[in-house]
Amino acid sequence: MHTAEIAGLVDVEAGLVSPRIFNDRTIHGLELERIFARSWLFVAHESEIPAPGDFVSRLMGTDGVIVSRGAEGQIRVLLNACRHRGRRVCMQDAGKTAQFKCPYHGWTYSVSGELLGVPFFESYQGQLDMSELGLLPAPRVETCHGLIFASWDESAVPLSEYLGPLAWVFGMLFDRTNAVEVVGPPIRWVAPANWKLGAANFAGDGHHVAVTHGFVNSLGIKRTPRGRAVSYVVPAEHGHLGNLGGWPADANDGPFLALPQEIWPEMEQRLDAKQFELMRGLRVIVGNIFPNLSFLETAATGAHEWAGPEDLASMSFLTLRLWQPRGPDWMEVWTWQLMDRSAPDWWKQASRECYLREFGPGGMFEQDDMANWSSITQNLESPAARRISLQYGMGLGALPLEEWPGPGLAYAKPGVGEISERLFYGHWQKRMLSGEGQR
Amino acid sequence: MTAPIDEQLVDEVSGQVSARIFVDPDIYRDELARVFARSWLFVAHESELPRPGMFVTRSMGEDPVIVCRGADGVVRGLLNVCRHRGRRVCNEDSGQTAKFFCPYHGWTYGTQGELASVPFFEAYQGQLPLSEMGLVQAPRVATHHGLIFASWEATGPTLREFLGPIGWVFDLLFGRSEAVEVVGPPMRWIAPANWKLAAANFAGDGHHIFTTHGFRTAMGLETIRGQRLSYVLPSEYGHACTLSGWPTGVEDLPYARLPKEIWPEIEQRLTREQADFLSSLAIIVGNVFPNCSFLQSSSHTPEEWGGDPAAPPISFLTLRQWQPKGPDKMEIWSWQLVDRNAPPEWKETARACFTREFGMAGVFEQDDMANWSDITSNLKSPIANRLALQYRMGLKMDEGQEWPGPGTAYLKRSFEEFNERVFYARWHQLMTQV
Repeated sequence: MHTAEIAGLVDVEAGLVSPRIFNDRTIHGLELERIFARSWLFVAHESEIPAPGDFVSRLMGTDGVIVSRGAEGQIRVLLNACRHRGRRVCMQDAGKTAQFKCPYHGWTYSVSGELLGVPFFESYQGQLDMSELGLLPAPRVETCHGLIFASWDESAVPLSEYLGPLAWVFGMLFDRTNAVEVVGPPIRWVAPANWKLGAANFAGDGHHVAVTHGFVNSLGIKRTPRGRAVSYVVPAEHGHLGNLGGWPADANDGPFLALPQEIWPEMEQRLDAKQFELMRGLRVIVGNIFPNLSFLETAATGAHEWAGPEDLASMSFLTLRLWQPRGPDWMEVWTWQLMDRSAPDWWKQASRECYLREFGPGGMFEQDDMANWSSITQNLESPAARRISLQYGMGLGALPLEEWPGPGLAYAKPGVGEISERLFYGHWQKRMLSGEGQR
Repeated sequence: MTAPIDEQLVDEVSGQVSARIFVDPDIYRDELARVFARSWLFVAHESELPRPGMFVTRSMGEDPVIVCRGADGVVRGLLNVCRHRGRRVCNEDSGQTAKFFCPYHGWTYGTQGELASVPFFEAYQGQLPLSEMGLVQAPRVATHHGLIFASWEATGPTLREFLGPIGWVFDLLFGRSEAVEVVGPPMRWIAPANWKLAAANFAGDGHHIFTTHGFRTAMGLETIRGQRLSYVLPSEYGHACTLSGWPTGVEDLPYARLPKEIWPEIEQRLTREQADFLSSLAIIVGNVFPNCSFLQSSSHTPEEWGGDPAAPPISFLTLRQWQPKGPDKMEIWSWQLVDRNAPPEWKETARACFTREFGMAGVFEQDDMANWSDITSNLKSPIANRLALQYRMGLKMDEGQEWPGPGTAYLKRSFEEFNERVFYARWHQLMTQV
């Protein structure tokens, strides 16, 4: 695919995106090479592999990897392909082991990836250097507040630099108490939709909520609080977006994202004063780390509607979601719920129930979204539909705020419309245009 | 990247093969033209079409062909494509007929492929030369011990030259008795795996058995232990075969556990040296390049096929073809063959043994398919696609001085990936030949 062709797919200034990027096979193949084989990708949360020998099987783009904690505690990300014939050496989703044994010929690797044993080794007559044939490790693995990221690009910028101001936002989500940890294994399912629709929607599509998820208003089960609220859009150089939505000043039904009061003191201790004060007025934090990791913490007003206690004005849940590309027109959705370990048990149970009802695989919000994204993916395949330009022009010309307590810059919300999606697709295009030689 | 990435697809000297050759659609398209359209390909066994007018429909690469014994008794390979609009003229798997009638406009061909009639012929106003519009014929069809091969190449080595020393091994398998014939129609099924993984595995992967088929040792069913005289046999055109002996000192039934009723035939048809050699062997397994594998296996215990533990052991003979259907898909065709004069109950037991081991749900078959399909899907993604896979076992081999057949065989001392290198070297040669 020629540079000029890629350059024509996204026009950030005009807010236009070509339908081709959502179902073209060639573009999908290039994405795997130029975006997924080179970006920092979320692979697991540290609480999933707390002890030496623990591992989970994950995907980096379409490449299968094992995320393991070695005997000495070090986290590694290893290509799940035997160096002999390429078979997966690990078929489990998660577990604890001392070694991985390939089921084809029995090559055996340590949990850190070293090649430990080869049957009939003497038949190699000294021509097999075992030290060179460990499972291929991702050259870069770094963590941020417990989130493990890996990259195949040896020269990638450090993760903290990659995340930019979003690392500060992540502090409010994942480092606010002594332990924010995953609840059970991730829930995952397959959806016939292009992965970017999920990522860009979480990056900054706030105004679909009123229509797509209009049931909450029409049924009166979840009031979107009305009134003026202080809200921000936080962009990052590497294509990430964070959206921080505030409660209306006179209708704060759940300070600190409706987290339970029991953990507020811990939060005050761990967070810096600016984070803590900002969180007091926040109702929702939602965004996307480029390319495909979305995060959401949202307060649900009227807790009892979501199986919460009758007397609780609101409660919240925190989720991470990965939109794993499986083809131009389908993805595997991976979702984790995370909780503060020190939250009371009754609150955890209510939050879990609320989360599953809203964003589990059969959750009402999840179902609403998936109906749109799968319809778009299928709809844009036909020749006439492929010629239209999709519109991302809302709020062109917005200027950054002068007042923003965090690092980097922020825009005021509402009024900036689709800026987040423009930034997402602009960065997508930049990565797609970056030279082939850099793989 | 920290891994050694090879720039060429196959390096037979160091024993490395690029992951790309198992998944790349461009390489696959090239393969159909460079490998399948230029090699002798197995299409049928003569016992499948004993009489004039009998036919089977098969594939040569992805090209559909009718293998038909014409009214004149000659076996031909006919492209199953009507010359008028390209429709298949034969939609059966097998049968006996006097003609092939295209279901679209009714062009009708005889069993020798000739265009016999065209409806409304006069409307062509004399502009349709019937004699030039027969079904396209493979220019060369030849047989060896009943195995019919066809090629789209009009010139090049004869089938006998192509098979080389494997032709001698085929004496032991297909020429050992008055008639070795197929049992019923071939079984076939689809597998989401690249065809080369299976062909190379049969060409010479002996050491996967202990891990992949480890259930045998785990359940105490393994029969072959100890020192034995075994050979690997390569050939110029990419075929390779492993002949594994019984361990020294093991007393077993002679002649690959074939029934005593056919021993006189064996002794009559094989040379003394061949017959003795056959007796010394437990397994003959290999692959005729590109995609026809064969296996004579005598090492299975009665427990494995559900027999009486006290029953005498048995063997089976199978041909398997790995038909390419895309970079990540193949159709597996599998035949069992038996010596016609073996007693019916022996045939039944051999059938049960074969079906349990290598039928489409056989335990060995399932084991293998799990690996080959996993590899095929696993190597598609960008990072795994850059791997160089390892085929370095036994880079140095010793010639077998006592080898009784033609060509050069090498001593199989432990395990080696020699035959797989032979397979991929020939593949590489055809893929890069100008």
